[in-house]
Amino acid sequence: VTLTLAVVVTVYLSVIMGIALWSAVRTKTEEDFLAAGRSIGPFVGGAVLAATQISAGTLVGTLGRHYLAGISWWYVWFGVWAGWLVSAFLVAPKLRRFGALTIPDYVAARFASEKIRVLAAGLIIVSYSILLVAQFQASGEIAQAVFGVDPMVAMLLLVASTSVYTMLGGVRSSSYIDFLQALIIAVALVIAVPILLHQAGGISTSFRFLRALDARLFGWFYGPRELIALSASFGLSVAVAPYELTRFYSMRDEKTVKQAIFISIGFQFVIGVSVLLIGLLTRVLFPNLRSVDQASSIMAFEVLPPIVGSLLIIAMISAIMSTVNSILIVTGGSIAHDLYGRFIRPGASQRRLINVNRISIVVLAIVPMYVALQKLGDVQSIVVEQTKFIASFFFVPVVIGLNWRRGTAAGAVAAMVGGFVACLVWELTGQGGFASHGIDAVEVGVLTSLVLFIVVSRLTRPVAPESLRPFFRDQQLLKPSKVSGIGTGRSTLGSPR
Amino acid sequence: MLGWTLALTVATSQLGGVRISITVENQRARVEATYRLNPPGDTVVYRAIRIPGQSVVVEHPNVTEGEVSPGLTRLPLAVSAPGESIHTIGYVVIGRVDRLPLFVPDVVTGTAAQTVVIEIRGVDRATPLGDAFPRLRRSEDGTLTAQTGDMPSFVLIPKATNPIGANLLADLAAVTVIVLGTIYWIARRVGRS
Repeated sequence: VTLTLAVVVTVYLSVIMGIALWSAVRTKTEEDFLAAGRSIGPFVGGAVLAATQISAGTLVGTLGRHYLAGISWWYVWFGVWAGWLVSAFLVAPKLRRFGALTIPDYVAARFASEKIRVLAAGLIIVSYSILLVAQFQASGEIAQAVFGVDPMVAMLLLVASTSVYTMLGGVRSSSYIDFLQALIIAVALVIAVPILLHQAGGISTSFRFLRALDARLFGWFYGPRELIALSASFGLSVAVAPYELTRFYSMRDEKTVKQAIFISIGFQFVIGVSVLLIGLLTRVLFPNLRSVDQASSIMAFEVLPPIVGSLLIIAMISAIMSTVNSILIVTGGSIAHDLYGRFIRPGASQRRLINVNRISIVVLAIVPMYVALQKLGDVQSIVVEQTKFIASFFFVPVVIGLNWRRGTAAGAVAAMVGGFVACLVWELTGQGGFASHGIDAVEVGVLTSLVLFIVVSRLTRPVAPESLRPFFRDQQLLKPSKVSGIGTGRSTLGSPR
Repeated sequence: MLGWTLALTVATSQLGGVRISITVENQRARVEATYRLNPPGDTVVYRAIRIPGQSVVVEHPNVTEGEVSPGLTRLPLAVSAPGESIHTIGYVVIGRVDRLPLFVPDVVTGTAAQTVVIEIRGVDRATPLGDAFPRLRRSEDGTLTAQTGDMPSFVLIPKATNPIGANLLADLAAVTVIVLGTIYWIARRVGRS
């Protein structure tokens, strides 16, 4: 098994480095680097979105949740997909039509304010650095469980390989690598299910065993209110996740983006069902693991055939790499494009912006790695907390901001800061549990953000029609003059293809 | 990406070590399992589930509950004294012996890497081990052994009638799908350019 795993890992790393080098040759401009020259089609785009969505949390955390809690955790997926549909109909087409490179590009243009660009970039860097900590920590734990290597060595290898392919080819290389990763994840999971079912003795035997072990595995392990809160955390954050939205910019056009989202949901459905079944069947094989987060690693290493098991371990590592890669692109872009290119050196050359982006990626990868080595918390709790914060400060300015023209810069700032602070306060004061009131921090954060956005926007002067033109079609008809608002993204980068 | 912050383990006490000895004969298998554990309460519940076409006869200890539902045998064993306890369960499986149920205690396995040791005697030396579970090794005297970190719920005895093996077929299927998929994808890209 170990030899097979070593061979599969070597082949896989060689392939992704080959793709990265091929992409590097084709990357000439910042638009190439951050948006793959707007060339990604629906199938690759859908796989990319799925690979970005599927992280260590899914293959390690969600699988572990199904191992522990059974089918009730699966309902959280409906929240995730609802988030994707909100994105498909209310967010993605407008963002893609606008044709920016980063999410701060959008907020700066929509609300005609450069201050809000800085705020958005700062919040993105902070929140996604936290998510990087979780990903690095998960990589260390998998490596320790499977390979028996020191977590720091695993993290360094992860940072090195991911940074190299991100730095070399930007979104183009990561899009094709994500496509490959999504295929490997889907193939490994789908093949693993019948093998595990055969090993576990079939459907009937497995069902009887699990029902005898814990009847809640087929009932309500988590209550409806808990599931609603969890679904809200994931769904609201998925709808506006900057590292997902950034991928829309790399696709050919609005139609491609919508198609890609539906293909992505298809990928996620297959992966979600497979993860559910694998979690339950692993419970049949090993009913009392010492840690539910180890279910996927143990199943891959101890149960599955050598190549399929190795593929699944690669899939887990791939999932972490694609998420790390997407986050590095978003946070690196925030520094290079939104801060350096706008404030520190406006008018910097394309080559210089790409280089600043590459340096930022290395720095942004190393700092969270140091934090991950301190093991400040559990991987899953870090992931969940991060989704709550993203939803609390971004959902309202992005979704409502794209669909309600009366929203103003002051309203957006109030919504972002207020949502973030409300979520933080609710968590820090121990209100996060369900025991006393059943209200989660994400619900408080998003509601606060919504109220502040509406009230403050109503009390402040509307945004100039020129700034609204890229986002509202009727505004375009009424005001057909050339866009001259701040930071439309088009003036420096050309029209979307 | 999905995750949650609730309890990460399914139980708090630990299984210090398990030694399982299996002797396979024609149409029957004798299992002797010794568990070393540190239980939280005064009773440890063991569960085993048999498949159709097989019966499980527990020889010792004497039990008050046996098969509580079709296929499920439940053994609540009392702990004699606080601290570390040792339980031994002996039973015979009659009928199908390719998939032998093991009694799993309701405690998690400890942190040691090789907590569970399984020895199987009576399997033909020529039988390939590809589809066995857990992963087995054959020693010089023909005994099959497995050492795992966690307690499995059954043992899959390798069969001589299955020379290719489901595991090998699954590996071949995985490689074929990925290779064909890659060739198709490259062919499409080359065709487009």
